[in-house]
Amino acid sequence: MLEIKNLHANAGDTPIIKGIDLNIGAGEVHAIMGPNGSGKSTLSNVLAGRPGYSVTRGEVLYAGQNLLDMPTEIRAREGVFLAFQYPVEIPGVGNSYFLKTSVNAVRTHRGEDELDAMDFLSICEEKMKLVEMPSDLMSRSINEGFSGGEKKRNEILQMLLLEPKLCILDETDSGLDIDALRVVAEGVNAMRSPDRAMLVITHYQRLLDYIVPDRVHVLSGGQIVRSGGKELAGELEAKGYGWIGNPE
Amino acid sequence: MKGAGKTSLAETWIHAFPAFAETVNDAPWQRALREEALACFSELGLPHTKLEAWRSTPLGVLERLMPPAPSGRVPDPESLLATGRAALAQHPLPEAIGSRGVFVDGHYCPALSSFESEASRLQFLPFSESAKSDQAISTRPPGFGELASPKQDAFTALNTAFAQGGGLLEIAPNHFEQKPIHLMFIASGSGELVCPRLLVRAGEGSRATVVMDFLSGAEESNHGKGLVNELSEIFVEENATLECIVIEREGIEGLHIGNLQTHQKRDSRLHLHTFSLGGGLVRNELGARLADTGAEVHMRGLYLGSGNQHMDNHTLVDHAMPHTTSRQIYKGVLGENARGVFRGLVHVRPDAQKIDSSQSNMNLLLSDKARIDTRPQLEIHADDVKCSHGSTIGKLDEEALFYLRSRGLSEPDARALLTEGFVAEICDALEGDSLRSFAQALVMDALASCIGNSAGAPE
Ligand SMILES: Nc1ncnc2c1ncn2[C@@H]1O[C@H](COP(=O)(O)OP(=O)(O)O)[C@@H](O)[C@H]1O
Ligand SMILES: [Mg+2]
Repeated sequence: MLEIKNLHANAGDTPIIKGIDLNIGAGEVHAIMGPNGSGKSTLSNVLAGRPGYSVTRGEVLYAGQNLLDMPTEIRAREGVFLAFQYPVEIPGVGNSYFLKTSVNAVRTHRGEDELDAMDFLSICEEKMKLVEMPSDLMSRSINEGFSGGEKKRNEILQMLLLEPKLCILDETDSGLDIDALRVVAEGVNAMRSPDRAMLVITHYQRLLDYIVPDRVHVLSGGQIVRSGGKELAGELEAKGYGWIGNPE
Repeated sequence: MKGAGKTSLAETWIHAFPAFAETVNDAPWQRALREEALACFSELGLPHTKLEAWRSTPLGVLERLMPPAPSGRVPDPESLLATGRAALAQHPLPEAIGSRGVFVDGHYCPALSSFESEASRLQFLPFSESAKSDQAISTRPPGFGELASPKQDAFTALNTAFAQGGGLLEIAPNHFEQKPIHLMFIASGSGELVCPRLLVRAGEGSRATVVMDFLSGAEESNHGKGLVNELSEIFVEENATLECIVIEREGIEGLHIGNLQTHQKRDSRLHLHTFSLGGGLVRNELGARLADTGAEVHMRGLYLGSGNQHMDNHTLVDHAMPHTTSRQIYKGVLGENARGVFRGLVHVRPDAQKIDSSQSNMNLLLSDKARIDTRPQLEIHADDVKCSHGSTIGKLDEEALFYLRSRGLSEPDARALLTEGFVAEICDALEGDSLRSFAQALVMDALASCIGNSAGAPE
């Protein structure tokens, strides 16, 4: 599903990603762990096509296609979804109108009919239950004045609605209490399926108790310094990031 | 064009005045005021960019277009009716209109107007000419000329000298007018100077909504050519609540110099909304005088410009008494070569304690060539006050743009949505569903041309 080959990338003018190779097959869940500043968000931003980041070497294939050539919205419509570490507040734009527009943009791209207001509402209500999202958040502006937990639920709600093929979750767990963490994890687990790949980025092992990964990679200094099974997360938790060493 | 010896626009108007005054069908009280006002205008001349208040307003366009003074004749009712009717059929109007008044080039058009109210709780009284009915006012109505003096402002002088067909809108004490009163000022596109004049009195304890809607005639080719120099004086009496909505949606050749002055008594509330959506050059002079304790004014404005449009808002809030409140939010979206000016002055007089005032001006520039000149100002002569002010100029938030695109929205859709989000709070503040959706539709239309024309503009 996702093949990252010798990826080097800059944030602004600063080289941050320094040679990453990673393959995630359909149905697999991979976790990336690593200390703050190791380049986790940079990697997810590069995959989503955020302006301000540039790839200097290497390539990324998504379902066999060159991902880096696609504009952000085409990546989204083709099924790449990034749950933001810091979801953006957008005053004046209604959350529910935004979600409907987004779902229909993706549906149209897939050759499906647009959902009308009624259909959208009923689908949306069902998914909102799953992430235990209060209904008044739909009539508010996007993320405006949402608590940290509400913003993350809104991200997962979007993921549930858009039904992407590649889900990238950038520290969706950070700042969440244990209840919110459980809800978010349940949302993610509900999305696990044989034709869907997931990349779960986290700083703590905690999330991986709920979302059990197939593979765990440790990112440090812009490189993957270790890869292993799910037990690697436990090791990291016990020993901290100190022992992994720095690639340079 | 002509070199030295060219007659200036001001001179043209001054020369045209005697014939106008002969022709116009006046009550004596108005005639006397006209003469005085013309003397003031001759003294003042037209403003120019060397005057601080007019520094950023390109009035040179007036000298180029030379809009002639009105003749003073009242057009025959048939042609007024035809022009008015066509314009009404052409332009979208709100679903729920209560009373309405239609003015064509300032001339009151009784056949298209209706003020429905039991026992004259709501009345429109023409100043003189048009209605030869017994309703016309025979003496100078109290308040006329009290809030805007021809001695200080050339356009006030000009309006007072050449006004035709205006009138007094009177809301009786304790009357609650449910539906909006819609006043439509139609510019026929004659190219002339037109001076609409209005006096509004919201009686003690009354509640009403007044829409002042400026639009152009119906024909495809009608771009509202001419100069509309309107002046409104609005008195809000004790404990009254008035919502006043000014909509400027003239054609692209229209020049609009508006002056709206308000005076509020004790515990009154005024909501003043200005939507500047059309016209080539628009200038709004807005003055709010909080003349007694407990008075509250909420001013909101939105200006949307594209092409070579120029839009000015000059506000002055005068906190003349303690315990008064003012809120101002002005927002602008400017694309292409559009220009905007915001000058806001909040004045707190000595001994006017316990003032609560805020003022903000936010601007979104959609192109590198668009410009806004913004200067919110405070002048405080009392110490126990709560005042805030500020202004911003910016482009669309790149983070927000990326967020929307990462959810599948195309870049143009994302830009449009963010721009709509930026202006949303101004429309949302309108009371009443019918009026709100009417304003929203007009704003969306104007925004679409701002955004559309600026699409692909360099970052
Ligand atoms: N736009 C940018 N310009 C320059 N440096 C950046 C930019 N964004 C992030 N960085 C730097 O890149 C490094 C990695 O950041 P990030 O990818 O956010 O790390 P993580 O998500 O692992 O905490 C940090 O040192 C950060 O300061
Ligand atoms: Mg990060």
